[in-house]
Amino acid sequence: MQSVIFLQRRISIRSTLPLLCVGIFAAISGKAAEWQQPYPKLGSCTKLDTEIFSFEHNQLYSDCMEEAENAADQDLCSSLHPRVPIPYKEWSRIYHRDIDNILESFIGKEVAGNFAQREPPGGQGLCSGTQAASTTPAPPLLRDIAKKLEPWMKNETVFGQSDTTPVLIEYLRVYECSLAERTTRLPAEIWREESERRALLPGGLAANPFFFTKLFEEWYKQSREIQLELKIARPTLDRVLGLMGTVQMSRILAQDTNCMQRASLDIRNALGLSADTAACMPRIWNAKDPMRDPSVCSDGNDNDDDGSVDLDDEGCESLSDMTE
Amino acid sequence: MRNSIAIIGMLMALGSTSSALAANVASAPSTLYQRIKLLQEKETLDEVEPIIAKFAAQLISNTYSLTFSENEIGLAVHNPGEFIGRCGRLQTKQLIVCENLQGEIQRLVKREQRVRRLARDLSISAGSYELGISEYPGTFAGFPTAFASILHIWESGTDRMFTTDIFVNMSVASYPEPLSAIEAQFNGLKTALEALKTGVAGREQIEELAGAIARYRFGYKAVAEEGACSRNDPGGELGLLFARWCNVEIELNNVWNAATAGLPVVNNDALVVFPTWAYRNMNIIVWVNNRDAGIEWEVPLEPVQPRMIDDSAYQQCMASAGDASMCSATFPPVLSLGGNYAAPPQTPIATAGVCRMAINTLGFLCRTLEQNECSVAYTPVLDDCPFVGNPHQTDTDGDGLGNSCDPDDDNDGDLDEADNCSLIPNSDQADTDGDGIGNVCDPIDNNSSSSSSSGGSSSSSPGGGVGSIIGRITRIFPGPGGTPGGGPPPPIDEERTGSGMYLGICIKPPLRFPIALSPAGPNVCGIGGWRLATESPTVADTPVKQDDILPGPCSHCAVDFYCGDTCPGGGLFTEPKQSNGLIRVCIPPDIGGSGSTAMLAPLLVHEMVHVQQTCNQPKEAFTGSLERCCSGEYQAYLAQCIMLDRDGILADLRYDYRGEPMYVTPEVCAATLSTLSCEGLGQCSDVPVVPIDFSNAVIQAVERHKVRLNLPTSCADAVNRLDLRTKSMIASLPNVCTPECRSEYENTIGNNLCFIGQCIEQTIEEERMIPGRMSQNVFDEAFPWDSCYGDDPLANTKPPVSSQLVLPSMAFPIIPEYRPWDIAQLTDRALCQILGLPPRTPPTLCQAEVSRTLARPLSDALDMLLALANAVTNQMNPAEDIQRMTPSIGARYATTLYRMQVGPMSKAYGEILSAAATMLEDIGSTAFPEQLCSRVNRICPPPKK
Repeated sequence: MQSVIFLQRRISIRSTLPLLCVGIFAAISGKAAEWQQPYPKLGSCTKLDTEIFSFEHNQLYSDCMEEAENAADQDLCSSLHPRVPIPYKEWSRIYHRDIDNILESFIGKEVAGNFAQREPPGGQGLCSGTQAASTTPAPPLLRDIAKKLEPWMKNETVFGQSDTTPVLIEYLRVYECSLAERTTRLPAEIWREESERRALLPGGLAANPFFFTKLFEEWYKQSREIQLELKIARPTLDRVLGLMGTVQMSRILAQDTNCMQRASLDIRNALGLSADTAACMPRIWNAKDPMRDPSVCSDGNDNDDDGSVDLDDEGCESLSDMTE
Repeated sequence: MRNSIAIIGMLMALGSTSSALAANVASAPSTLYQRIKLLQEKETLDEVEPIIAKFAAQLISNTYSLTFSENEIGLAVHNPGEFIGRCGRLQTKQLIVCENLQGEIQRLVKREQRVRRLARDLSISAGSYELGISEYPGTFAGFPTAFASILHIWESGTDRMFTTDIFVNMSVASYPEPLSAIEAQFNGLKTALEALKTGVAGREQIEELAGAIARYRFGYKAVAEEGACSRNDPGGELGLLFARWCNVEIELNNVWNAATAGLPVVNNDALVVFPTWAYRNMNIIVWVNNRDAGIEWEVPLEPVQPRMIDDSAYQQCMASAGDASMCSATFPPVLSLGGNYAAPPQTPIATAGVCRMAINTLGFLCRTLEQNECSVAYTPVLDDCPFVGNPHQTDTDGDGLGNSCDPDDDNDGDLDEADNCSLIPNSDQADTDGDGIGNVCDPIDNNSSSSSSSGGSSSSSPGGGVGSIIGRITRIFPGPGGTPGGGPPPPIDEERTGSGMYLGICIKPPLRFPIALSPAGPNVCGIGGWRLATESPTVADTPVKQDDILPGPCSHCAVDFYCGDTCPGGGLFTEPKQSNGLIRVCIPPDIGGSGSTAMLAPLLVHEMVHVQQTCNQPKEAFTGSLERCCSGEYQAYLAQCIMLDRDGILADLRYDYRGEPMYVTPEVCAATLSTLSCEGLGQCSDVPVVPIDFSNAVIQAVERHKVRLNLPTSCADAVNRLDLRTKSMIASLPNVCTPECRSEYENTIGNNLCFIGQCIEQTIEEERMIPGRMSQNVFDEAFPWDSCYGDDPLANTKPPVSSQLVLPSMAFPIIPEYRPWDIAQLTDRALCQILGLPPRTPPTLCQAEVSRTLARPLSDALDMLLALANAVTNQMNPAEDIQRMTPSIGARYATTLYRMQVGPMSKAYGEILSAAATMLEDIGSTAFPEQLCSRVNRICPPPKK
């Protein structure tokens, strides 16, 4: 932020006035695009929102800032734990990549590279206890995103699948706020970034007669890109969340069905034992069966007509011994 | 200077934006999110969908005789100045007209885009619900497999005859990498599918592709059975739902042939594969199994949108003549202005569409599942329209006659055909504005000051919308305490009716009188076969008469099929059991001299039921009186008809009953054919069709499917290649629980109960020490899981007081039919509410105001465009409301979809788990003896000293 202010001071009022006018115009257009997207409804922007896409997350810096009591302390944090800025061109890629990964993780990893078969996250789940779908753990990426966002920055929440929606909506809000904020000072930001890259000024301003043309070009291009993002990001996420919500409902039903299947197998196996026992019933009820009268095996007769009297018939082992 | 800088900047920026867009489109999306984002970009970017541009251009051309290209329509929306300039210079020379035109076009385009966007939202919302219940791709949250598994685990053995192991062997294999055996065919299919995408790069339209996927989602063979393919597009707004794409069918056929021949795994029964590598970027899955092949979206993002321009006649002309100039001159495209759904899709019959999927044919989606609700059999609410498919059982006036069968749905004395409001009683037929819609139904009764209140009052009309699902319950086992036989139905009493899982087939026969349904002897599982063949017969059955086939020590009878030149009665005939236990079945060369041999396969199942009956009871038990004849024949025909149903034959019988398509259920089939068999003694049933005609129709239908089902070509062929179900029945003839006899069956809950039941029954009948002094009634119908009983003297007249093995109810609920158009109806209702119309306004009046405006003939085209403009303004807020309501509509649809089964399912789960706990508790508390009986051929317990 310091460098921005410093840079702005170097730019003359005369040269910045028209830029400011256009910037205000661009900001208004950007805001107009924002309110035209009704869903999901998002909260207003705060100062902290713009930081998430401006700098890479640095936990040491965050911890330091948490303990900082005044502006001097905050400057100290910046110097002790310098943060790496994220180029504007990366913002869109990072945001969409993250949502993409979350959705892919939600619908499950592809089995052997085949998108028709997915492994559902969290495996088959448990059928005992009180585990509910809401406690199905969310992918680690969701936690990583949430840790960068203010509501979850300071606590160690365990994230479940049901936390996906609030985290992603907050992520979207922050993303949109970052874009809108950039719109308000777009020319200055472009000037600063281009100066730092020294791409436009190899020989100083005087040696670049088309500097302003290129500035306008970049300015217009980025304005369009930001407007496009503001139009695309929210309704896209809305559709994604809608899809995830309905799939999640189906999954709850699927989980119940899986548990029902397991319970059915248990019952089946218990009945298998019962059937095994029932196989004895004819013999239990047969008056001549050794099950009821074991002495039938030692009655001195040749019950099975095998040529040997039962006493000599070893253990009356033959089947007919038991049924005759 | 400033201007020029700005212009240069804008031009360059435009150039860069365009290239960015092109880059976006060029990189095909590979993930679901990327596809959703791309869809959003297409909708949001300053583009006009080609189909909308074409529609607008055609509308302007028809109205003003002015020709604009699709690009110029785009200019009218996004660059009004340039459009007006071009228009003025090239077309009208009147800028004021061009300005008006530009405004109208812009509003028209934006409105149509909004409508299509809404359709996509709905599709995503509804589609994601459907994924879970789809048999093929639903891998994120699919539960059909587990559900099918549960059904199988609980399945009773008796039903094994009726199921051809569809669940048992079903598995899913995938082929992520190209396989040389079928790669060429898959590439051919991909080419055919890509050809359905129209438009230039970045502006492609996939209406046709979406239509084709919807059409072949459940397999191309199902569609091909409609007749030879000639792109038989019926046209109209919904034409894409019924069109055919011959190239796609050919390629799918090639894929199926190659896959079933080249991949051994497909030849395994009922295996499904998902070769997808060639389609990743198209979001398309191809599935193949041993019966069919089809295509499906991985995630349905693009619905089949109503057609805006109907060029079906042109396409058909091109298909036959191929002369573009002639075809375009003769069959110019016709605009579909919307709002005219003349023939909405009907509820699919039980073996069509989604119901063709194997998992669903057994009751998952399309049939009533076997339930335990026999205990409510005597409730008066049964199928209120037994011969016409009316799954909702809607009975508006509550007279017990479903609307589909009721000539006067609201019971106001005016028959529906002449009733100006057929669902709300209005005996005065008042119609103030003379529009043909009675006042009580007419929300826009111009001359009535109380239009809304009259519509509002309709909400309290009798009957409501959806009938009781109890109406679908057709099993009639009376529970303990039920009233046997006829007599007035007792009131439902939870305590008295009890619940329990009952083995055996127990669907209420649509016969005139109560019959004994289970005269099948000691096998408590009734007719059919539930056991595996454990021993090879010592003598193989051949097509000639044999005397050496004799029952073994474990059976009371044996069966000998033989081919005779003539058989008693002219058809197949089961002879009485001989003294040595042999039962012969005479098989004629064909059926009734018709030349049909294919019919022999189902008829052998029929005769095997008679063999089972004759094995344990004298043949006289099934002859001599109408009741006995109907009892015996109904069971035999029921087995035969269920087999026909499972094999897709019954679905091929098309009958109309009172103007409605009649789905021939196995019960109706059995009742009709048994009526035919017993006609010499009287009439078994009040059947809706002439029995002899029906019989002939069945024979013809079987002949149509003989190649597909590989049915016998001669009597000898039928004997030598017995159907698996017939074999299973033969294997089930021997005794089950005799110690010397080996008994083997698939380990399911139902089969275990069959075994336990048979052991109990057999023990009491054969091994009890003091016959006649048992507490139980020991005749064949004595035991709690015995099947239905009635007045027949062969059956019990006194049901057991309590069940020994009462299992938890199998109250799996009905999952409703696949009815995607419900979404349209729900949207209509939402529109009605948003537009302030009464909620029960007839749907046609609740459609979007735009559609009504467009559909209304106007005297002047400019008036029409102006009306459109006003409509857009008027609808802006409602349309936004609709957009906001989209998730709610989706949720409402889902709730409708699932609510009917969630409650009963949770009840079933609870009962099963509770019963399981009880069962396990009982097992745990059982004091087992110190010594158990020994197994066959094992050492006997040593005698006690």
